Amino acid sequence: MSNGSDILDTFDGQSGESKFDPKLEARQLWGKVFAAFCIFATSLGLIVLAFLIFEVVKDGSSRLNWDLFQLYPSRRPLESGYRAAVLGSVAMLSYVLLLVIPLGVCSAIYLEEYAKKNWLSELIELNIYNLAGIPSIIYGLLGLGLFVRGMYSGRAVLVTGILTITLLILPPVIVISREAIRAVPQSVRQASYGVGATKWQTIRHHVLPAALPGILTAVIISTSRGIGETAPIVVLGAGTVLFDPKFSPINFGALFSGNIGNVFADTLWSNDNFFSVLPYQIYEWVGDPKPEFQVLASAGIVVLLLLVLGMNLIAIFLRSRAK
Amino acid sequence: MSSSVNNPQPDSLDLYQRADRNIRESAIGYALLFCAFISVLTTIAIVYVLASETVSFFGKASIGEFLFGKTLENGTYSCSWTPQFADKSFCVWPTVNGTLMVAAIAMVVATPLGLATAVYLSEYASPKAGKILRPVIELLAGVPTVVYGYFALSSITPILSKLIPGLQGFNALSAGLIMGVMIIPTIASISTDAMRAVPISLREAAYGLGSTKKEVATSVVLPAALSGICAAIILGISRAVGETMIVAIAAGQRPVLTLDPRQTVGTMTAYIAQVAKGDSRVGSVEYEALFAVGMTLFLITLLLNIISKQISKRFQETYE
Repeated sequence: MSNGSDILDTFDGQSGESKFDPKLEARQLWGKVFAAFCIFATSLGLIVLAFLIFEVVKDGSSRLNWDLFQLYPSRRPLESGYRAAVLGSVAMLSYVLLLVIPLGVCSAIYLEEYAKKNWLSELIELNIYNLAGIPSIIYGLLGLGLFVRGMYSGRAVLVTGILTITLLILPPVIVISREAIRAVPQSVRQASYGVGATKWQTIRHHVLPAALPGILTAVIISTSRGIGETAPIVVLGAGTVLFDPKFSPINFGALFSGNIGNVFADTLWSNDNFFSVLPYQIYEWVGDPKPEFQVLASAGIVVLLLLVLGMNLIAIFLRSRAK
Repeated sequence: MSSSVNNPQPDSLDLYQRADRNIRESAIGYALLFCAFISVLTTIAIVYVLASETVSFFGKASIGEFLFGKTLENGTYSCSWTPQFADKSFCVWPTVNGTLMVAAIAMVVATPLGLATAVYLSEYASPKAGKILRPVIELLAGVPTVVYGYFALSSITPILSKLIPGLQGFNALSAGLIMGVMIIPTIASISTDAMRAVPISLREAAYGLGSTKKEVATSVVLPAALSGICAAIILGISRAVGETMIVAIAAGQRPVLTLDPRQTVGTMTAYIAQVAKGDSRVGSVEYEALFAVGMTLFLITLLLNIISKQISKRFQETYE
């Protein structure tokens, strides 16, 4: 505080003028430069994104027609399309949602509502945080070692892809769902307990409905990331596929004709249900030297961006509605 | 439940229901615990898969060569990574070098831009504008990385090659620049939270002394939020190190020891993607090398995440 006297020394009490120079003009100028830089930085990413979208639409527009969804991959670029890949992505999206919603929400409920403060819940919590930071390609190696080599003796089938992507997006789903559950006011729970509801009744009828928009946002954003993932699928060993993936978990034809032995033949689980997904097929064609394949890749990117950014926009809309 | 019909006293009815409810309640508790435990099993599985293959890899290649390179018969020192060639060498540093160079370029882009974005969102933007802008900026992290890779290769590299002589078709520079754009939301988002957690009284004190908005932001808010910002930057580095598709597509697949960003490099992740795509035989040394590189990558990102978590823990304690 002794420094304060320095400023007083510069003050000439006789003339009423201060020798202290606030350098206001220069500081205001720097302020404006800094503000301009911040605005520039905020918009730069969006400019890059806009440029990216412009470029891929420009490059891929000649192939953006219905044929793109009708044709299988081929060596001739003009006869190639994304049919198998799009169907593979749709199948993966549905089954991943089916797995990740119950698993993610249940884990989040356990950690927020049930877990006591002990070593076990701390271990799980720390573990989920670390899992969320592991690169996706490591999950690919996990899937390769555990599911492809372990369960299907080296065959990269749809099930292995679904399980790998589910494990990959589970940690972020849990982390964001927990935030949504935590945001439900304590008074809601107390009111429910006050009228005699059990813990599960409270969660089921009051906490979950209140947290639903937040949980849905978590699920949609994370799943959109999972659908756009290429690296783990590459590591699993997916390849170019010339047929539709099998969706059905049970062979209904066999079930209804009483042929119980073949109930799982030709289904999701069969070991010849090889698959491809949209981002993987794009990666294959990006690497092809023929320029027509680059056009095809651009068209595929437009479709992928529509899917992924569309899901993100839905999530943003849900989140803004919730507040 | 049928006995409650025979004995319609309200007390016993309540008792039966409560017993029934208690069993169901604890069953639900255990079911939920099981779900949460899946994540622990995932970690165990990851460590097991990586470790078992890595151990058999080091049965065939020496750990000394992996970490320090080897001296050839003619006395020259060599450090190269070529498990898939006939003349195999197993020195991991060329791939680490590629990873670190691309990550460094990405962080040079993402750190100032991400921080400036965070300053704008927390200090300048109106709450309404911030509410709209933040999710829009987070879209940048939602774009699939294969798209960024294609964009870096087909749009950024041609533009850069007009400006920079000697730029190769696959290069670390354009991959790093685009990766930087991808990481902006990671840094911006966490830093915004850290800056918003700085008490408003600190800002008011600075304004009271006659500071401009810029001075408040750079001399008061940024230093006060420093630990959160450091955590964000370290998490950004971890993202950059683990990113696969951008580097596999745009930076090339040739691990070399170089510091020239115009050159083709090969990162750890690109190596894994390249070899896994090539269908290597199980039990072969190139298949096991895949997991050894994966283990290295796993340990590096785990370390970065733990450091980031420790720093942000300290930051939470300061203001709560």
